[in-house]
Amino acid sequence: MRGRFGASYQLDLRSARRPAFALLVGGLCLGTIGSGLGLPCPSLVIVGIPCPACGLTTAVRNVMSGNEWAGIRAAPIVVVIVAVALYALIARRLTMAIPYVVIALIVGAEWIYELFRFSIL
Amino acid sequence: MAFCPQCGTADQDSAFCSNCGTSIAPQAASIPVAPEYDANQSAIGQYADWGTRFGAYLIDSLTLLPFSFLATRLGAIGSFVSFLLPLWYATQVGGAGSSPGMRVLGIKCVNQTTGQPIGSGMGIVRYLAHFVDGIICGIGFLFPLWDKKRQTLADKLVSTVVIVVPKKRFSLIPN
Repeated sequence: MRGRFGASYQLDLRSARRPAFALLVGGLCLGTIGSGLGLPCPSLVIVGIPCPACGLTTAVRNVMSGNEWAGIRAAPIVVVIVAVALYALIARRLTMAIPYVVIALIVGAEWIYELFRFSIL
Repeated sequence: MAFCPQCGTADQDSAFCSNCGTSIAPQAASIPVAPEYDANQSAIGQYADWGTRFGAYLIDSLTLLPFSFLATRLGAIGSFVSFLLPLWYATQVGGAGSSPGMRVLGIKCVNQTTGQPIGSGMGIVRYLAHFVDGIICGIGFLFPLWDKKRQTLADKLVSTVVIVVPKKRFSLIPN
């Protein structure tokens, strides 16, 4: 589908509800448990470069346990992800079109931030 | 509120118009009803859900395990063969549309526009494209959970979808 910003990714909101619920409840549980549980990033382990999703587990855990700023410092993209997850849970719409340009800009900005955070840049 | 198709009188509660006596019910029944939204359905077929795809992956991994075990006993050549084994399944996915696990669970990988298998070469390209799924902390493999076409990032790169087909008996090579 093409809109004002070009082609868009079609997010199926109805199907996204379960993963969104799992993400928010999982973050809440991790925040409560306070464990350092998280998957090692394959990119960071193999080539030593963080991927755009690095720090996301920490970020969701911190945001869901009330430490918003700590979460945002770990991965600012968490704001967008939690917002989309909440929207998927409450929205009555069935699909949501997100322009690929917007996705590329958000993921690109997040990746640059992570490269700075890990002192690669 | 219903309207009479003949004279246009509003507030029709019965099957016939209170003004001119025209039958109203048949017209009301013939109004087309929008089909119920089904995220899994497409012109090609029903998209396979994440659980079935993961199940097929597990079956494929288990069936390759004995071959990999034997291959690694053969030293460097064996390790190379062990590396090639998944490519054998990838050519099956490309050529016939399904690996052994996919056949057993009744799913098939096809081009999203033509509905046909993508060919052995593109099957290998799709297999290698799974690198993109894995490198971002495996998030690409979870995409079928929320994607409208139930595609992974690799599927999007090579324009494939995985659809539901009748189940078949287990076989290491396509029937």
